[in-house]
Amino acid sequence: MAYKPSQRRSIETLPTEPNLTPIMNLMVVLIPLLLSSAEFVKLGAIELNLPPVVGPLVEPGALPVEGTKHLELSIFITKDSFVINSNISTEFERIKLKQSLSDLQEHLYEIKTYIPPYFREKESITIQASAGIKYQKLIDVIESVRVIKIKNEEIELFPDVKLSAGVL
Amino acid sequence: MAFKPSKRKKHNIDRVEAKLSLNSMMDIFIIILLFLLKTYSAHGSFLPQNKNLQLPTAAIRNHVNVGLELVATSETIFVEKQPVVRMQDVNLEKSHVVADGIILPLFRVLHTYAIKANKLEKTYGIKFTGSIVIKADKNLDYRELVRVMQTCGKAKYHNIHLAVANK
Repeated sequence: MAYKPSQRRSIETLPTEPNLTPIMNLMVVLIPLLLSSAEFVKLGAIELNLPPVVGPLVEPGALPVEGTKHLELSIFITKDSFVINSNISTEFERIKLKQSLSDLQEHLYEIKTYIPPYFREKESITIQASAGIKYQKLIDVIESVRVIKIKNEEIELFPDVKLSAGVL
Repeated sequence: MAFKPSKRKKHNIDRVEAKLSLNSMMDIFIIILLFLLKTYSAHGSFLPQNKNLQLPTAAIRNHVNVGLELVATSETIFVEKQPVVRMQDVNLEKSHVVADGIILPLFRVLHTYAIKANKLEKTYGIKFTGSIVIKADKNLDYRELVRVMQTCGKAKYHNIHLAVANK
Protein backbone atom coordinates (compact mmCIF):
# COMPACT_ATOMS: atom_id res chain seq x y z
CA MET A 1 0.00 0.00 0.00
CA ALA A 2 1.40 3.34 -1.06
CA TYR A 3 1.66 6.12 1.44
CA LYS A 4 -0.39 9.21 0.96
CA PRO A 5 1.89 12.12 0.01
CA SER A 6 2.33 14.67 2.68
CA GLN A 7 0.12 17.66 2.26
CA ARG A 8 2.68 19.90 3.85
CA ARG A 9 5.17 19.28 1.13
CA SER A 10 5.06 21.77 -1.66
CA ILE A 11 6.93 21.54 -4.94
CA GLU A 12 8.10 24.81 -6.29
CA THR A 13 7.33 25.12 -9.98
CA LEU A 14 9.75 27.20 -11.94
CA PRO A 15 8.25 29.55 -14.51
CA THR A 16 9.17 28.37 -17.99
CA GLU A 17 8.97 30.48 -21.13
CA PRO A 18 8.39 28.95 -24.55
CA ASN A 19 11.19 29.48 -26.99
CA LEU A 20 9.69 31.74 -29.63
CA THR A 21 12.80 32.23 -31.71
CA PRO A 22 12.10 29.43 -34.28
CA ILE A 23 8.53 30.66 -34.79
CA MET A 24 9.82 34.17 -35.23
CA ASN A 25 12.28 32.92 -37.85
CA LEU A 26 9.44 31.22 -39.69
CA MET A 27 7.36 34.40 -39.66
CA VAL A 28 10.26 36.50 -40.86
CA VAL A 29 10.66 34.17 -43.85
CA LEU A 30 6.93 33.68 -44.61
CA ILE A 31 5.84 37.31 -44.67
CA PRO A 32 8.42 38.60 -47.18
CA LEU A 33 7.78 35.47 -49.27
CA LEU A 34 4.04 36.19 -49.45
CA LEU A 35 4.60 39.86 -50.12
CA SER A 36 7.14 39.28 -52.86
CA SER A 37 5.04 36.65 -54.64
CA ALA A 38 2.06 38.96 -54.83
CA GLU A 39 1.39 42.16 -56.65
CA PHE A 40 -0.86 44.81 -55.18
CA VAL A 41 -3.55 45.14 -57.80
CA LYS A 42 -7.07 46.18 -57.04
CA LEU A 43 -9.37 44.11 -59.19
CA GLY A 44 -12.56 45.26 -60.78
CA ALA A 45 -15.10 43.32 -62.80
CA ILE A 46 -17.20 43.92 -65.87
CA GLU A 47 -20.40 41.95 -65.71
CA LEU A 48 -21.69 40.29 -68.85
CA ASN A 49 -24.71 38.04 -69.06
CA LEU A 50 -24.95 35.54 -71.83
CA PRO A 51 -28.32 34.31 -73.02
CA PRO A 52 -28.96 30.64 -72.10
CA VAL A 53 -28.18 28.16 -74.84
CA VAL A 54 -31.52 26.39 -74.44
CA GLY A 55 -34.86 27.88 -73.54
CA PRO A 56 -36.70 31.01 -74.59
CA LEU A 57 -34.57 34.05 -75.44
CA VAL A 58 -37.37 36.42 -74.47
CA GLU A 59 -38.68 36.37 -70.93
CA PRO A 60 -42.48 36.25 -70.52
CA GLY A 61 -42.51 39.75 -69.04
CA ALA A 62 -40.49 41.15 -71.90
CA LEU A 63 -42.89 40.41 -74.74
CA PRO A 64 -43.12 43.06 -77.46
CA VAL A 65 -45.40 45.90 -76.47
CA GLU A 66 -47.45 47.70 -79.09
CA GLY A 67 -46.13 51.14 -79.97
CA THR A 68 -42.63 50.42 -78.73
CA LYS A 69 -39.49 49.54 -80.61
CA HIS A 70 -36.47 47.55 -79.54
CA LEU A 71 -33.24 49.56 -79.63
CA GLU A 72 -30.60 47.86 -81.72
CA LEU A 73 -27.32 49.60 -81.16
CA SER A 74 -24.03 47.98 -81.94
CA ILE A 75 -20.37 48.80 -82.35
CA PHE A 76 -18.01 46.95 -84.61
CA ILE A 77 -14.35 47.21 -83.76
CA THR A 78 -12.10 46.72 -86.74
CA LYS A 79 -8.34 47.15 -86.91
CA ASP A 80 -8.52 50.82 -87.88
CA SER A 81 -12.04 51.99 -87.13
CA PHE A 82 -15.18 51.86 -85.02
CA VAL A 83 -18.51 51.46 -86.79
CA ILE A 84 -21.71 52.36 -84.94
CA ASN A 85 -24.92 50.82 -86.24
CA SER A 86 -28.37 51.64 -84.91
CA ASN A 87 -32.01 51.51 -85.85
CA ILE A 88 -32.90 54.91 -84.36
CA SER A 89 -32.94 56.92 -87.56
CA THR A 90 -31.22 57.09 -90.91
CA GLU A 91 -28.93 59.76 -89.49
CA PHE A 92 -27.47 57.29 -87.01
CA GLU A 93 -27.81 54.19 -89.13
CA ARG A 94 -24.11 53.72 -89.80
CA ILE A 95 -21.34 55.92 -88.47
CA LYS A 96 -17.74 55.10 -89.23
CA LEU A 97 -15.12 56.62 -86.98
CA LYS A 98 -11.38 56.53 -86.74
CA GLN A 99 -10.17 54.70 -83.67
CA SER A 100 -10.62 57.47 -81.17
CA LEU A 101 -12.39 56.61 -77.93
CA SER A 102 -13.35 60.22 -77.24
CA ASP A 103 -15.01 60.48 -80.70
CA LEU A 104 -16.84 57.26 -80.02
CA GLN A 105 -18.07 58.56 -76.67
CA GLU A 106 -19.25 61.84 -78.20
CA HIS A 107 -21.24 60.07 -80.90
CA LEU A 108 -22.77 57.69 -78.37
CA TYR A 109 -23.72 60.62 -76.17
CA GLU A 110 -25.39 62.25 -79.16
CA ILE A 111 -27.29 59.02 -79.85
CA LYS A 112 -28.25 58.69 -76.17
CA THR A 113 -29.76 62.17 -76.11
CA TYR A 114 -31.56 61.58 -79.42
CA ILE A 115 -33.26 58.23 -78.63
CA PRO A 116 -37.04 58.72 -78.93
CA PRO A 117 -39.11 57.72 -75.85
CA TYR A 118 -40.87 54.81 -77.54
CA PHE A 119 -37.62 52.81 -77.68
CA ARG A 120 -37.16 50.03 -75.13
CA GLU A 121 -33.89 48.82 -73.57
CA LYS A 122 -32.22 52.17 -74.01
CA GLU A 123 -29.19 51.12 -72.00
CA SER A 124 -28.01 48.12 -73.95
CA ILE A 125 -25.34 47.96 -76.60
CA THR A 126 -23.76 45.08 -78.49
CA ILE A 127 -20.06 44.99 -79.25
CA GLN A 128 -18.48 42.92 -81.95
CA ALA A 129 -14.85 42.87 -82.99
CA SER A 130 -12.77 41.45 -85.75
CA ALA A 131 -10.23 38.71 -85.21
CA GLY A 132 -6.89 40.03 -84.08
CA ILE A 133 -8.34 42.72 -81.82
CA LYS A 134 -6.65 42.60 -78.45
CA TYR A 135 -8.59 42.10 -75.24
CA GLN A 136 -7.28 45.41 -73.86
CA LYS A 137 -8.87 47.32 -76.76
CA LEU A 138 -12.18 45.58 -76.16
CA ILE A 139 -12.05 46.54 -72.48
CA ASP A 140 -11.24 50.15 -73.45
CA VAL A 141 -14.32 50.24 -75.67
CA ILE A 142 -16.52 48.63 -73.00
CA GLU A 143 -15.30 51.21 -70.49
CA SER A 144 -15.98 54.04 -72.93
CA VAL A 145 -19.51 53.01 -73.87
CA ARG A 146 -20.67 52.74 -70.26
CA VAL A 147 -19.99 56.23 -68.98
CA ILE A 148 -18.97 59.62 -70.36
CA LYS A 149 -17.34 62.33 -68.29
CA ILE A 150 -18.55 65.83 -69.07
CA LYS A 151 -17.25 68.67 -66.91
CA ASN A 152 -16.22 66.24 -64.15
CA GLU A 153 -19.69 64.76 -64.10
CA GLU A 154 -20.21 61.13 -65.03
CA ILE A 155 -23.16 60.53 -67.34
CA GLU A 156 -24.33 57.01 -67.97
CA LEU A 157 -24.40 56.00 -71.62
CA PHE A 158 -25.03 52.33 -72.30
CA PRO A 159 -24.04 50.31 -69.21
CA ASP A 160 -25.70 47.08 -70.35
CA VAL A 161 -22.95 45.75 -72.60
CA LYS A 162 -23.38 42.56 -74.61
CA LEU A 163 -20.68 40.83 -76.59
CA SER A 164 -21.61 39.34 -79.89
CA ALA A 165 -20.72 35.69 -80.27
CA GLY A 166 -19.64 36.20 -83.87
CA VAL A 167 -16.21 37.37 -84.98
CA LEU A 168 -15.91 39.74 -87.92
CA MET B 1 43.16 58.25 -3.80
CA ALA B 2 41.26 55.20 -5.04
CA PHE B 3 43.10 51.97 -5.71
CA LYS B 4 43.27 50.61 -9.18
CA PRO B 5 41.03 47.50 -9.39
CA SER B 6 42.87 44.23 -9.59
CA LYS B 7 42.98 42.65 -13.02
CA ARG B 8 43.54 39.16 -11.65
CA LYS B 9 40.79 39.14 -9.07
CA LYS B 10 37.31 38.22 -10.20
CA HIS B 11 34.77 40.76 -9.20
CA ASN B 12 31.45 39.23 -8.37
CA ILE B 13 29.17 41.71 -9.94
CA ASP B 14 25.64 40.40 -10.43
CA ARG B 15 24.86 41.22 -13.99
CA VAL B 16 21.17 41.00 -14.87
CA GLU B 17 20.67 39.12 -18.12
CA ALA B 18 18.67 41.24 -20.53
CA LYS B 19 16.01 39.31 -22.46
CA LEU B 20 14.17 40.49 -25.48
CA SER B 21 10.45 39.95 -25.12
CA LEU B 22 9.22 38.57 -28.41
CA ASN B 23 5.55 38.20 -27.47
CA SER B 24 4.31 41.49 -28.84
CA MET B 25 6.31 41.09 -32.01
CA MET B 26 4.85 37.62 -32.44
CA ASP B 27 1.35 39.06 -32.15
CA ILE B 28 2.10 41.60 -34.87
CA PHE B 29 3.55 38.98 -37.18
CA ILE B 30 0.63 36.60 -36.69
CA ILE B 31 -1.85 39.36 -37.50
CA ILE B 32 0.07 40.36 -40.64
CA LEU B 33 0.38 36.74 -41.75
CA LEU B 34 -3.34 36.02 -41.25
CA PHE B 35 -4.26 39.22 -43.08
CA LEU B 36 -2.01 38.34 -46.02
CA LEU B 37 -3.25 34.77 -46.27
CA LYS B 38 -6.90 35.80 -46.08
CA THR B 39 -6.56 38.53 -48.68
CA TYR B 40 -4.60 36.24 -50.94
CA SER B 41 -7.17 33.47 -50.92
CA ALA B 42 -10.59 35.11 -50.72
CA HIS B 43 -10.70 38.57 -52.20
CA GLY B 44 -8.28 38.33 -55.04
CA SER B 45 -6.73 41.74 -54.47
CA PHE B 46 -3.37 40.14 -54.89
CA LEU B 47 -2.24 38.58 -58.07
CA PRO B 48 0.56 36.15 -58.55
CA GLN B 49 3.25 37.71 -60.70
CA ASN B 50 3.17 36.19 -64.12
CA LYS B 51 4.48 37.45 -67.43
CA ASN B 52 1.79 35.54 -69.32
CA LEU B 53 -1.06 37.02 -67.35
CA GLN B 54 -1.30 40.78 -67.35
CA LEU B 55 -4.85 41.92 -66.80
CA PRO B 56 -6.25 44.76 -68.90
CA THR B 57 -6.66 48.03 -67.06
CA ALA B 58 -9.90 49.94 -66.67
CA ALA B 59 -11.38 52.43 -64.24
CA ILE B 60 -14.14 50.12 -63.09
CA ARG B 61 -14.80 49.86 -59.40
CA ASN B 62 -17.15 46.85 -59.27
CA HIS B 63 -15.87 44.12 -57.01
CA VAL B 64 -14.99 40.72 -58.36
CA ASN B 65 -17.69 38.32 -57.20
CA VAL B 66 -16.71 34.97 -55.88
CA GLY B 67 -17.30 32.37 -58.55
CA LEU B 68 -15.48 29.78 -60.55
CA GLU B 69 -12.10 31.16 -61.60
CA LEU B 70 -10.98 30.82 -65.20
CA VAL B 71 -7.56 32.12 -66.14
CA ALA B 72 -6.64 32.51 -69.80
CA THR B 73 -2.98 33.31 -70.28
CA SER B 74 -1.20 33.56 -73.62
CA GLU B 75 -0.09 29.95 -73.16
CA THR B 76 -2.65 27.99 -71.16
CA ILE B 77 -6.24 28.08 -69.93
CA PHE B 78 -6.66 27.21 -66.26
CA VAL B 79 -9.81 26.46 -64.30
CA GLU B 80 -9.46 26.77 -60.54
CA LYS B 81 -5.67 26.84 -60.97
CA GLN B 82 -5.64 23.52 -62.86
CA PRO B 83 -4.30 23.63 -66.44
CA VAL B 84 -6.96 22.55 -68.92
CA VAL B 85 -5.80 23.24 -72.45
CA ARG B 86 -2.88 24.87 -74.24
CA MET B 87 -3.69 28.06 -76.10
CA GLN B 88 -1.54 26.89 -79.01
CA ASP B 89 -3.90 23.94 -79.61
CA VAL B 90 -6.87 26.31 -79.50
CA ASN B 91 -5.24 28.64 -82.04
CA LEU B 92 -4.49 25.75 -84.38
CA GLU B 93 -8.16 24.68 -84.11
CA LYS B 94 -7.30 21.01 -83.69
CA SER B 95 -10.39 18.87 -84.19
CA HIS B 96 -10.19 17.28 -80.74
CA VAL B 97 -9.79 20.72 -79.12
CA VAL B 98 -12.17 23.09 -80.95
CA ALA B 99 -15.55 22.21 -82.45
CA ASP B 100 -18.29 24.72 -83.39
CA GLY B 101 -16.48 27.50 -81.56
CA ILE B 102 -16.43 25.48 -78.33
CA ILE B 103 -13.18 24.53 -76.62
CA LEU B 104 -13.91 20.88 -75.84
CA PRO B 105 -11.46 20.18 -72.95
CA LEU B 106 -12.60 23.40 -71.27
CA PHE B 107 -16.25 22.49 -71.78
CA ARG B 108 -15.72 19.07 -70.16
CA VAL B 109 -14.10 20.63 -67.08
CA LEU B 110 -16.71 23.37 -66.74
CA HIS B 111 -19.52 20.88 -67.26
CA THR B 112 -18.13 18.74 -64.42
CA TYR B 113 -18.08 21.79 -62.14
CA ALA B 114 -21.63 22.66 -63.18
CA ILE B 115 -22.85 19.13 -62.38
CA LYS B 116 -21.17 19.31 -58.97
CA ALA B 117 -22.72 22.72 -58.31
CA ASN B 118 -26.17 21.43 -59.31
CA LYS B 119 -25.76 18.49 -56.94
CA LEU B 120 -24.83 20.88 -54.15
CA GLU B 121 -27.92 22.92 -54.92
CA LYS B 122 -30.17 19.87 -54.71
CA THR B 123 -28.54 18.43 -51.60
CA TYR B 124 -27.67 21.48 -49.52
CA GLY B 125 -29.62 24.30 -51.15
CA ILE B 126 -26.51 26.23 -52.17
CA LYS B 127 -27.78 28.11 -55.21
CA PHE B 128 -25.91 27.66 -58.47
CA THR B 129 -25.60 31.15 -59.91
CA GLY B 130 -23.58 30.17 -62.96
CA SER B 131 -21.11 32.89 -62.17
CA ILE B 132 -17.58 32.69 -63.48
CA VAL B 133 -14.68 35.14 -63.26
CA ILE B 134 -12.51 35.31 -66.36
CA LYS B 135 -9.00 36.60 -65.80
CA ALA B 136 -7.55 36.92 -69.25
CA ASP B 137 -4.30 38.34 -70.53
CA LYS B 138 -4.61 41.80 -72.08
CA ASN B 139 -3.03 40.61 -75.33
CA LEU B 140 -5.49 37.79 -75.84
CA ASP B 141 -7.16 37.73 -79.24
CA TYR B 142 -10.87 38.58 -79.39
CA ARG B 143 -11.52 35.29 -81.21
CA GLU B 144 -10.08 33.28 -78.31
CA LEU B 145 -12.02 35.31 -75.78
CA VAL B 146 -15.27 34.67 -77.64
CA ARG B 147 -14.50 30.96 -77.76
CA VAL B 148 -13.84 30.90 -74.03
CA MET B 149 -17.07 32.78 -73.34
CA GLN B 150 -19.10 30.59 -75.67
CA THR B 151 -17.75 27.52 -73.90
CA CYS B 152 -18.68 29.02 -70.53
CA GLY B 153 -22.18 29.73 -71.80
CA LYS B 154 -22.63 26.22 -73.11
CA ALA B 155 -21.51 24.78 -69.76
CA LYS B 156 -24.26 26.87 -68.05
CA TYR B 157 -21.94 29.55 -66.75
CA HIS B 158 -23.86 32.54 -68.12
CA ASN B 159 -22.99 35.04 -65.44
CA ILE B 160 -19.59 36.15 -66.70
CA HIS B 161 -17.34 38.65 -64.95
CA LEU B 162 -14.33 39.96 -66.81
CA ALA B 163 -11.64 40.80 -64.27
CA VAL B 164 -9.70 44.00 -64.86
CA ALA B 165 -6.98 45.76 -62.94
CA ASN B 166 -8.13 49.16 -61.72
CA LYS B 167 -6.33 52.15 -63.20
